[in-house]
Amino acid sequence: MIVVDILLQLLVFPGLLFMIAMVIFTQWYWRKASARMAFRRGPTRTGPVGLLQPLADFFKLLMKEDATTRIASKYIPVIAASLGVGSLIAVLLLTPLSYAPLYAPYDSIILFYFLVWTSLSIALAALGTPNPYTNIGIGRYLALLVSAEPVLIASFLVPIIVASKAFGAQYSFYLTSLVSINLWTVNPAATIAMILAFIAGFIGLMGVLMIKPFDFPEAETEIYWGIFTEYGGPRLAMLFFVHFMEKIVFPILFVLLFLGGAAPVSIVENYWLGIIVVLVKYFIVFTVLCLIDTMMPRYRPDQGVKFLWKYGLTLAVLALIAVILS
Amino acid sequence: MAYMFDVFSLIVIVSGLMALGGFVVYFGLFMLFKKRFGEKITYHDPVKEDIVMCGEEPPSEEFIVPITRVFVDVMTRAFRRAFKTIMETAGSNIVQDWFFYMLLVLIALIIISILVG
Repeated sequence: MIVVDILLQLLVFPGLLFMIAMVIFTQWYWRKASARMAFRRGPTRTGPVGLLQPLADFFKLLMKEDATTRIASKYIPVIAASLGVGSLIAVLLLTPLSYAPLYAPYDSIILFYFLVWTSLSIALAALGTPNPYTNIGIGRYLALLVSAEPVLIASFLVPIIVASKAFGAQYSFYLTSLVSINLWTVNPAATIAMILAFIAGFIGLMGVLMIKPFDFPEAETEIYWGIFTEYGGPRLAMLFFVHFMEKIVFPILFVLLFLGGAAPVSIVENYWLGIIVVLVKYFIVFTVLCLIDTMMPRYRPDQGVKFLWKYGLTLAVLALIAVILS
Repeated sequence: MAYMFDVFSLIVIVSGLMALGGFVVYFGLFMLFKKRFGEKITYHDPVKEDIVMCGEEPPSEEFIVPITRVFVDVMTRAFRRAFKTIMETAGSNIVQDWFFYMLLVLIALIIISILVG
């Protein structure tokens, strides 16, 4: 029974099939919202109100010839991207989105490891296709990751520590996300720590997802998409798949830790209503990210890195100290 | 209904699930479409395999721009004063080494472990 549960969750919900559907819908939503802000109409032709346009684009890329340059690696990029997708759908099994989630004391460490791996899989995939622009993009992307990942993980640690101290969550992501609505009011120090971690976490989220002003690793007008320059056809589809999935999974984790997860509904008692509440909150965060990405200009790489260390990491470390001393 | 494991078993299980998910994506999406559609329209052309920038092929040494140098350049520009101070006081280019960054991470871990007790 446990094997069937795990496989169903991995391949259907909230795993692969659900993620494919979510990637299609969120991409349509992103393109439509950003187009409206720029007084354009966005996708309109494929499917009702252009809803199937991202699916058509995805299949168009997958059905193209798999062309590579003569010095590019044939297998490493695709395997890295596939494992990136695999790690993101495996991470979802550690969250309350799964109907039979897996958990263990200190499982948040496993979750953070797999989150870092997904970002590294994009860098590894890009490394397989040498090109001057690609390599500049990878150098910038690594500088961004070194700056944004500590901010994100340090701020994600704060609610986990609060939940473990106050509610005995044993540093488990799943147990933390079940009580996350109560973490803001445990004590004054925890409230301050949660506020600081919320701000730092959102900044780290923008950095890891390359939301403007932190999109200098791809900077299409400057280094021609940087890490994606040499890609086309099915390889580009795979890389986009990982990148777009990151834009779904990371904000969902943010919602589960900082925005109370499924609250006011108990996801354990009313699973599907809880899922709907989490998705509604996710779309609010996603819309904010979309609006920021559409409105903001781009930082220079050094400006972006400096911002993340100076404000993001400082806030995250202050939050960590506050919660440890509380 | 949730399944509880010990952390070591969970590492093995999640790693296995990641590999399985990756396997399904690789063969179910990439290879399937490549065999069914991509290979039928494949044709050989030497020009297609070249890296071309602005209509010209760049010299081969430019294919591999040193990534570490780009990374260090970004970090140096971001923390100009700190790097200058370290270079002047330490008198070395240790900051251009991954070892230095890992040393920072280690120091941070030690501080956190002391704070946690």
